[in-house]
Amino acid sequence: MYTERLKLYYSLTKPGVLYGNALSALAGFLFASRGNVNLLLFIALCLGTTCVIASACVLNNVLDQDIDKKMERTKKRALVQGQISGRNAVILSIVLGIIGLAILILFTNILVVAIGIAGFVDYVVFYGMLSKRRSIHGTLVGSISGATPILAGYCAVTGGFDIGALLVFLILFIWQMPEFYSISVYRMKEYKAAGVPVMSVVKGIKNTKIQIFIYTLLFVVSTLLLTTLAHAGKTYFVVMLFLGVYWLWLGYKGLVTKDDDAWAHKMFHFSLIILLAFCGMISIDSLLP
Amino acid sequence: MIVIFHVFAALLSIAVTSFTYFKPTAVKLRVSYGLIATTLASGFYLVFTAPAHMAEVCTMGLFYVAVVSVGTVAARGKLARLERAKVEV
Repeated sequence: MYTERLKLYYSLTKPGVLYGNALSALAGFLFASRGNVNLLLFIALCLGTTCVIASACVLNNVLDQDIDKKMERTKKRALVQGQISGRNAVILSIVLGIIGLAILILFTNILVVAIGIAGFVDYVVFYGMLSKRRSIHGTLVGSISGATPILAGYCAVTGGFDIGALLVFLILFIWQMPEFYSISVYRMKEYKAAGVPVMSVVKGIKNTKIQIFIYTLLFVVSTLLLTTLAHAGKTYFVVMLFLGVYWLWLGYKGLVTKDDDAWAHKMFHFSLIILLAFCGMISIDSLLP
Repeated sequence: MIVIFHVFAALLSIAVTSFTYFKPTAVKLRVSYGLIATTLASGFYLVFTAPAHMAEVCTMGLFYVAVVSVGTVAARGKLARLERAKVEV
């Protein structure tokens, strides 16, 4: 009974989103460390960012209950089903937020704390409260918060903002666009039913596919810039070039395909693979030629 | 600072060039020319003023020029075809 209850609260933190973001924060940290890992800072960053992201996700769950009710993918969430009260969820969010920020304040630097707060405010207020339900550009707004964990990880080590920080932020920011737009293609009916103005609902599938292709191209170029302008190695360059070209080719196939659903699923799955590859490659970059 | 400007100009020019290919207009084409020129100018400035690994810079520069050239030429062709079709109608 107690374990079941804990599992419900745990599900409120959106574990998939949580670990994806935590992974990118760690990748940013390891990339900036170049092999000289400060273990205490590493643990503090893991715990701090995970708690802040979890806090934002719980609050987002509270805000999105009306939309979640209407969507197949989310209608079984604990808050929608009434298994957890909104009040308890808000308390959990506050506790997680305070713990996360306290860890970041005590063990990292002011820049990381500022990035953490900015990411939280962007996700909860600018994305969740203001843009998601009203604007077709909600994805762009939400992508800013999605790119803050890797930036926080990088800046925890460097303590400043440089071209490497800008690039890792841009890469994660751009990556989210084809990833989310692919979801919006194969879940278009659900978003339409919930009244969420995503690109595929407002501008149609064809326009969304064009945007996916353009963002994929920008992603490929940005990942390669990390070798030219920052300090990523040649192995990273070659791996990301091959994966990027394949993803771009998949994106191009979308422009001519008739089976949009199947293509969008493929595009989405490959976006996860390429993100994992990117995070993995920058994490071990200092060990490779 | 100039390197950040260069990165934004390069990414924006690729985005505008690709968008122009899909939905070509004369104005968009001119904007993409301007952005490409800005990217190349800031790139040359960086090469001459800041230390850089020439092989990597050249590889990336060639990749960039290839992408925007193909995009711009294709967009111009598409625009010309569309305008011819308009005149014939």
